[in-house]
Amino acid sequence: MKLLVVDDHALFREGLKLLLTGLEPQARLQEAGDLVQALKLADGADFDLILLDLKLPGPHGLDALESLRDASAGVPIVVLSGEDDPAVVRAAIERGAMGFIPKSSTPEVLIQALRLVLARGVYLPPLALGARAAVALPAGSAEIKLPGITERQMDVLRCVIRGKPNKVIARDLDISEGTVKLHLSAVFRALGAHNRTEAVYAAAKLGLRLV
Amino acid sequence: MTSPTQPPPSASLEEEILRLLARQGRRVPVPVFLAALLIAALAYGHVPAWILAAWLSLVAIVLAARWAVLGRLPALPALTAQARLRVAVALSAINGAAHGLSLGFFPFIPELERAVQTMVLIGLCAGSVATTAGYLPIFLAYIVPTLGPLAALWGSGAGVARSGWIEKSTAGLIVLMGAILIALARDVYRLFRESFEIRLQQADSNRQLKIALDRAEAANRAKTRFLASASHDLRQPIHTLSLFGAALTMCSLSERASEVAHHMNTALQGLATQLDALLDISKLDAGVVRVDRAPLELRPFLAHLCEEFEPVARGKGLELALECPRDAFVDTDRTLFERIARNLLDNSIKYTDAGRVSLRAQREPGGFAVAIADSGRGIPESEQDRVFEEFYQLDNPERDRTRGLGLGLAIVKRLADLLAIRMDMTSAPGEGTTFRLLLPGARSPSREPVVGTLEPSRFASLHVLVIDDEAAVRLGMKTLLEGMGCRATLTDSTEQAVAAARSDRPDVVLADFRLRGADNGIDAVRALRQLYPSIPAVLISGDIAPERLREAEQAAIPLLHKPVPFDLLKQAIASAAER
Repeated sequence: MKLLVVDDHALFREGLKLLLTGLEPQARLQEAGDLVQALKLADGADFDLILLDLKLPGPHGLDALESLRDASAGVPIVVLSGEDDPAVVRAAIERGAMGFIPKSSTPEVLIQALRLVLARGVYLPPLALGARAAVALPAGSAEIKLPGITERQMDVLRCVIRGKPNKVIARDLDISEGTVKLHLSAVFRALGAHNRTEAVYAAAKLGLRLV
Repeated sequence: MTSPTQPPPSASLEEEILRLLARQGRRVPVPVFLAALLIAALAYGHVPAWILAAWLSLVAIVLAARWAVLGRLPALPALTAQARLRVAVALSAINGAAHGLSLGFFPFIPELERAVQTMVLIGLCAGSVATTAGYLPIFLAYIVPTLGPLAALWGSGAGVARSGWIEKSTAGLIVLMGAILIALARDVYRLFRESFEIRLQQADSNRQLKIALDRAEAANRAKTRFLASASHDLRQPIHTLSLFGAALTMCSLSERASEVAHHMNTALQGLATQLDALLDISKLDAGVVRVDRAPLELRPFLAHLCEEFEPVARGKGLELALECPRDAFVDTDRTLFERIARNLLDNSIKYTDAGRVSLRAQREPGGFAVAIADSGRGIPESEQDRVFEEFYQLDNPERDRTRGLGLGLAIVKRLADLLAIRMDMTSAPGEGTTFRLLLPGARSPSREPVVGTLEPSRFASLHVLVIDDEAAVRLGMKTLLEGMGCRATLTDSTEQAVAAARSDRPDVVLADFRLRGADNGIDAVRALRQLYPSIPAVLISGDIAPERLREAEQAAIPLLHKPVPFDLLKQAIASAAER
C-alpha cells in the first residue's frame, strides 16, 4: 500500500509514520511538508491513500485539498486536522475528502480511525455524525446489505465516495456516464442522501468498506 | 452632546467672542439704523435737516464699517486674538460715540421727544448686552459714550425751562440702569464663558473616548488572535504525543513498560481534556464563540445523547430514562446546547451511585423546559452557588486531577448565558439534583422531500424497532430507515427487543421472521404486544412456506418476502404506522 502524508509538523509526521507502519507493516510511506511538495510527489505517482493536514504553510486548508484532489485523480484523501468543528468536517467532505480524523482524538480512537481508513472505510468524527461517541463497529461489518441495491450500484457508490468524478467512474467500470448517474440516484435514494457529501456521511455511519 | 447645527468650539475664548461679534455685526445694522431714523424723526423740525442727514450718514457708515471689519476679524490669524479684540473695542467705542452724538439734539427737542429718545438709547444699550455677550471692554466702550452724556443731560437740566426733581431722578435712574446693565453683562459673559468651556471639555472627552474605544477594539482583536494561536500551538505537541502514545501501545512491551505507557496515555488524555476546558472558558470569556441558532428537534437529539451515556449508566447500575414529546422544536445552537446537556448528564451520572437519571422535556409557554434530574448525592445549600465557580469541586479536597478541573459547570453557566437559556438548579443532600433549562420554541422547519418518495413527512421521527440476527442486515436497515428520516433501534433477539422497547417505546416493529435458535419474529412481536398492545409490526421472511403465511395471518402481522424492494418496504412501514 502506498501512502502520502502531508503535514507541516515534522515530529507529527514521524509519529504518524510510526503508527501507520505499525498498523500496516507492508505500507510504503512518503511525506511532504507543504502543498507544493505534495503536488510534486502526487504527480505521476500512484498512491492508495493521502493523509492531509489542513494547516500548512503557503496554500492550505480546503483550497489545498481541492488542488491535491484534482492533481491525484481519484486517490482518496483523508483530512487529518486539529479542527473538529462539524461545519469544517462537512466543508472538507464537500470539497472532496473521503474522511476526517481530528488530531484531538484519543490514542485509542486514532488507532481505530486509522485502521478503518487503511481498510478503505470512511471515518468521520462522532460529533460530526451527531451519533454516539464510540466507533463501535460490530466485527465483520465489511458487507452492508442494502435491500434492493445491486452489487453494481454499490460499486458506483464506492467510487463516488472515494472522490472519483463521474467520467472516471464510467471509464473504470466500463459503463456510460448516464448509467453511472442512474445507479447513483438509486443508491442515493436508498441512503436517504441527495449528494455525495450525504452519501459519505451515511457510509461513515454504516462503517462501509470500499474494497 | 453638541447639537449638529452648532459649529465646533474655537481654539480659545477670544476667538469665540470674535465669532459672535461677527455674527452680530451682520444682524444688527438694520434694526439699529431704524432706531437712528426714529431719533432723527423725533428731532426733525427742531434741528436743521442737513445736520440730521449728516448724522444719519455717520451712523450708517459706522454700521457698515462694523459689518465689514467685524465680519473679517475671525479669519485673520495674522493678528493675535488680543489685537483683534482691541480693534473690536475701538469699533464699539466709535459706534457708541456716533449714537451718543444724537444727544446733541437733546436740548432742542420737546419733552415727549426727549423721553422717547432716552428710551431708544437705553434700549440700544440693553440690546448690546446680548450682541457683545457681556464682554465688558466692548460693552463699556458702547454704553459710556451713550448713557454717560444722557444721564448728564438729564441731571443738568440743560435746555429745560425749569428743572425739578423729575429730571434729577431720571438722571439717577439712568445711572442705576447703567449699573444694572453692567451687572447683567457680567452674568451673561460668565454664562458665555462657561458654555464655551463645557463645549471644549466635551470635544476633549469625545476625543479621549474614541482613543479608548480604538484601544479596546485593538486589544480585543489581539486577544482573539492570541487565543487562536494558543489553541493551535498548545495542542500541537499534545496531538503529537497522542500519536506516539498510540504507536507505543502497539509495540510489544514488557508488562512493566505496558503499564507505564498506559499511565502516560491516561495522563495525556487528562491534559488534553483540561487544556480544552481552559481554552473553552477563555474563548467564552473573550466573547469569540459564534452562536448559530437553528430549529433543533428535541426528541432525536436527546435520544442520541441517552444512547451515548447508556453504557456508562448501565455500568453503574443506574437507570437512564428519557421522556420527550414528539414534534418538539427549539431555537438554539445545536453544538453549544449539546455541550451543556452533555456536561450536565455527565455530572449527574458521575455523582449518582444508585437509582436513576432522567431527561425530561416538557412544553412550556413560549418553548420547552428540559430537565436533567438525578437521584444522586445532591448539593448542600451552602455550596449551591459555588458549584458554578471555576475550579470548584465538591468532594475533591486533595485536588485529584483525574477528576477534572471543576470547570464543567462553569462552562455550562457561560454557555447558557450565551444562548440566553434560563437555568435553574434544585438540589438537596441525599435527594439528588435537578437542572432545568428553559429553551425558546421554534416552528418545525419544512422538510425537503426526498426525490421520488411519497409524503416523507409520514416518516418524520418515527421510531422503528428492528429485530434481525444478522449484523449486516441490521446496519443496512438502519441506514435505510435513517435515510427516510426515521429513528432506528437495532436488536438481535426477542429478549433484546423487549428490553429496548421498555425503555424507549417504538412506533413500528420491523422483524425478520427467522431469528437465532428457536426464536422467531412472530414470537417477538407477540412479546412486544404484551408491553404495548396495539403496536404496529411488519415481518420480513425469506421463507415462502405456507405455514409461515398462515402463522403471520393468524397473528395479524403483514408479511413481506425477501428480497424486499426498497419502495415496498417504505410503503409497508408507512401503512403500518398509520394503522
